[in-house]
Amino acid sequence: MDADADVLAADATAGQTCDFDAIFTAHFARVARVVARVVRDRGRAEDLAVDAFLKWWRHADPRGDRTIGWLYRVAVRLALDELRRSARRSRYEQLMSVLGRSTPTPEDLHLANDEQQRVRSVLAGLRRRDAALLVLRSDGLAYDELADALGLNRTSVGTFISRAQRAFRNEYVRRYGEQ
Amino acid sequence: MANSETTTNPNDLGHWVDDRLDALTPDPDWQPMASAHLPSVAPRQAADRRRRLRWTGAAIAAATVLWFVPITRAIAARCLEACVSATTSVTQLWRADEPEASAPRVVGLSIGDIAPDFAGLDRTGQPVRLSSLRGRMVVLNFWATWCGPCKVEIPMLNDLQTRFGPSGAAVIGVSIDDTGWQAISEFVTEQDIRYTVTLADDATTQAFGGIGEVPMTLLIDRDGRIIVKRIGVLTEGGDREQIARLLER
Repeated sequence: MDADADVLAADATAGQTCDFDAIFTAHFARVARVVARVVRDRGRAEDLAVDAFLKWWRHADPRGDRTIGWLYRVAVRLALDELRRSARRSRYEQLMSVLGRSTPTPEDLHLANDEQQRVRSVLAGLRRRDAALLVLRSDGLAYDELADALGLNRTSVGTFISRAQRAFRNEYVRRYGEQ
Repeated sequence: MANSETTTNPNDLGHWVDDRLDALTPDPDWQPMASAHLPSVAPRQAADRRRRLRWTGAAIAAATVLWFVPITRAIAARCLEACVSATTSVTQLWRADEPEASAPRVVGLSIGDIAPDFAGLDRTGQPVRLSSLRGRMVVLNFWATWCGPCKVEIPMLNDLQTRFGPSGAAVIGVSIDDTGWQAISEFVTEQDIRYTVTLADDATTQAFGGIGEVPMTLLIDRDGRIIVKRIGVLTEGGDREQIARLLER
């Protein structure tokens, strides 16, 4: 996390009132980028990031130094929920197109072969904790931050990451074969 | 797939997954602007506050209506009573199922306690002692001749004695009157009380916590434990059926 974040987290730890605008300004960009890893549409990613901050504001009780971790967790969960909804909608549309024998559009064909799309569909098929762990880790969160964000035991984060990676690989290979 | 999993080095696996996840890295040129979204947050927060305020107001209004309008207050009281009764029934049934070893062996008036012992005489001069009824289910009803609600319970208690007396259960009415036996005997005849009636002396009253309110009914199991306690008139459906269910066991 950047220096501003550290200062804010330290303030929160000290029991000082967290100023919503300051937290929002300091973390919005990073939270939105985490969400954008999962949600393809940037505008939607920004909206979901705002939703995460509002959720935090609604439950604004003193969380001390866990405030930031809580924000990331909520954000990544909102993003994964969105991804799953989108995956379900996509499956439904595929089914309807098979029934209606409509031809896939060039965009459909492009997306089907797009690595981003593949990775997202694999994430949508994983357990939410595994997917959240991989997404947050790929965004550069350290083990301690991951433990705070996802409520894990700090000493077990490595094990959870390994499991999540195995689950990811298995799901990826099952869907797309060895690449 | 299984082969690939077992032969993959953990480091290789980590790199392999990282390579795939790198595809999700957003374009570095894209910088989400907090300042562009912050203005839209304040109206949403205000709307949220208004919504909370509306719900709080609605809750207060509903509570006021419930409290000050007699009909709704009565309905609410009934609902509350039903909820409490249902919860208590479940708890009592559960506690009645507890193995004896885990049951507290404390004399008291709470559910699960051993009922205090008492001794007295019935109308015919026969001794009545609670501890001598161990091994039998006992319905112990404290009452008084001057107590209107106590009269309401008499048919229910008669019914329990008739239904479960032959199988060993005992219904005992303990009067707390201080007028002596004559008035009680007349009352028993007049009200056609068909279960054992005895008169509480000072020791009995003290043992049962002073008996500030009548009617009070205790259901005592074969080990002398209190498994149901009702202060106030027994309800025709809920309480009587619950006691009957336990007496059947």
